[in-house]
Amino acid sequence: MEPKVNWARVEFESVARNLGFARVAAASWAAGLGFTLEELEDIKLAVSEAVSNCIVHAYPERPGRVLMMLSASDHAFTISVQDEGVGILDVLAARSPGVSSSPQRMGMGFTLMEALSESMDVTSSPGEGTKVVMSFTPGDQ
Amino acid sequence: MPSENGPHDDDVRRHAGLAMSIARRFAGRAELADLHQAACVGLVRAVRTYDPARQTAFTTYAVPLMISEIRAYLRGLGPLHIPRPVRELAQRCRAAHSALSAELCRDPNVSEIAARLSISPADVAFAMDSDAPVRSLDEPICSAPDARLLIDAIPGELAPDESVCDSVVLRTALSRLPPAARAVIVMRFFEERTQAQAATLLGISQPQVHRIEKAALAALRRSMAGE
Amino acid sequence: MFEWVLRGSDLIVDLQGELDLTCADRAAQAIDSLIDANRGARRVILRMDRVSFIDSSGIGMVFGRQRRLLARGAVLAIAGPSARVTRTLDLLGVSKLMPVYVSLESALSAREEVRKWNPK
Repeated sequence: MEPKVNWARVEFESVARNLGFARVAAASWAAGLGFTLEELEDIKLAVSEAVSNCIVHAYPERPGRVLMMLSASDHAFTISVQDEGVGILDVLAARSPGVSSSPQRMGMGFTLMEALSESMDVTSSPGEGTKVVMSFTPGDQ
Repeated sequence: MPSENGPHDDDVRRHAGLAMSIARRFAGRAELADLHQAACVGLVRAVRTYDPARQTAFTTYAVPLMISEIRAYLRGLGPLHIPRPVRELAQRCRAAHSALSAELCRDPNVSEIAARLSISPADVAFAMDSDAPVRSLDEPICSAPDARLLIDAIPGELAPDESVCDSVVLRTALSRLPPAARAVIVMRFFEERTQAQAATLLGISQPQVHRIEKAALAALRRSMAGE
Repeated sequence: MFEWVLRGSDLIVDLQGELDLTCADRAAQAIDSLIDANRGARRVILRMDRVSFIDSSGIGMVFGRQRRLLARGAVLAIAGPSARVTRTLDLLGVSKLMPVYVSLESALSAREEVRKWNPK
């Protein structure tokens, strides 16, 4: 009998080399939850955006720790990507496509994460880090 | 350079470092030792065929040959070096995906594909991740003899990276503007035209362009500030 | 790495692999050098048949090149994106900002597009 709630946590250095790994790790873990291949690709893209933000924005000086938590309950899949980096002063502004905090990829990243996930939540405090939580449901296209 | 009667081996040995530096430029695409070996094949060919009378430096002559050997080697591997079992698994996953799509009249989920192949869903995800798109056409352009490697164009020193992609950042804000205002903004800032040029293109006066631009910029600022 | 070829006034760049943060800067520098070395090119076509993944870093790289080209009276086009890549392009509305062709062939047969996308 499958447990009702299952989870996994993956921790890695915020370097570009780990980006592909984070994508595949999330996709492989989520593979048995009823997603189609297309949906798995969406999950990979969303993870790529969240982790890229950590690499580029959270730790601009030197790499730091990224924690990716995967959890599943009743076929709802949740990914949280958390860093202990510089944080975002104004989360709402960062999420709007117009913001230009350094490379403006950030606006696109949040736009994509929002479009790809069923829900997305960003919490952040300056100097303490940022946490992005996204949820995905199979058959939600 | 090969002397008239000197053994080629010496020349090859002398330029082994060059072969390695060329191989390093392809690092990550295959094992470095294999890349180096391919470069050395090119080097040997260069040593054998180099003609000092041509007045080209030996390295100038040898480097393209080494690169072309490496390319030939990499072509044999496919776009990425993916172990054959994984590639075969990806093929089986694709086949199962098509078959199940037809049977179920919908997109099968990964667990269903995995069950069909008696493997774990994670294996399916992993195999499909390694599955680079297959070139459908017979490389009509880039297998041309004049095709060159982009890597050859990379200068030694790297240009400072510019901040990019403001286009998309602006897109949402732009889409909220009335058409005339959008046209003015695009012409002025995206296409870097003067107000006079924009006026001519839009068939309005330059002061009108100025007014529209001012109002549009204010609207964009508000829109970007999330108002 | 990528292969490229100049065909008349079209500079065709054959991208492959995953266009993400790992390679976006390198790709940007490489393509910029190519553009600089081929000033006669009026159109740069990024062929994406073999691009298996693209995210906002990759798209950002594409927009950066487009901006440089527009400034010198040339255009950027994307050709042959896979279904996967097309989805990402669509989510970001890329086809509203630059021509996206289903294949290199259709890109090559649409020459009049240069003027439409950059009527300088």
